[in-house]
Amino acid sequence: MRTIPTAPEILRAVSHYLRETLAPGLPPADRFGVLVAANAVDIAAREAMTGAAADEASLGRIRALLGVEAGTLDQLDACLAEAIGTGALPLDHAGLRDHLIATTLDELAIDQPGYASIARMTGDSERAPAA
Amino acid sequence: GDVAGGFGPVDDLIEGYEMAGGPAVDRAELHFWMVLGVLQWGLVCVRTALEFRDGRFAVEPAVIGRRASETELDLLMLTGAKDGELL
Repeated sequence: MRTIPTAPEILRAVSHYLRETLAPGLPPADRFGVLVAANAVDIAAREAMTGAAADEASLGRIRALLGVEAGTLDQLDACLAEAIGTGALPLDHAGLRDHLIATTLDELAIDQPGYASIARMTGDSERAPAA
Repeated sequence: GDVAGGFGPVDDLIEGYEMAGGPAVDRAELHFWMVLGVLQWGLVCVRTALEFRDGRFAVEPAVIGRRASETELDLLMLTGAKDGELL
């Protein structure tokens, strides 16, 4: 049985320490570097939390779009890109638009949840950035 | 949306430009260059991620690499995905 706390919990503790304890006492140039590091740790924490599920969902959608079961996510992603590029999969193919949007929003939820364009895409002007 | 450098809508930019004596702006052409500019930033992010893996071992290039996803969303929006069409 794996011990607790989990990886995302540990990472959150690290970013909190960097941001709340270490950064405030540093000169500006160093403070900036520490805040960037805190942000990097938060990306890792979010990926540890939701990355596997996001990949599973994306893989399922690509399999349905291509009508293919075999292959890793990276391989099938490349096949999808190829099919779009050659026109083998037309841009108005059912589910393609939704797949691309869902995959991108899942990725941004990990990389940069406060990114301004997210609210424009989802039409949610009330959306607050996740931690 | 505020797509002109994040400061204001495209219409304001074009109006100001033409009022200042610039030639009439072809909106389709402007759109092309906006898409290309956004794509270019995304490629910078990907290249930075590859530099990180190739020996530029520091936090900043790593996080810049992760910003490629903002370009993916912006390109989807610029090519009409939000409105139900991919151009």
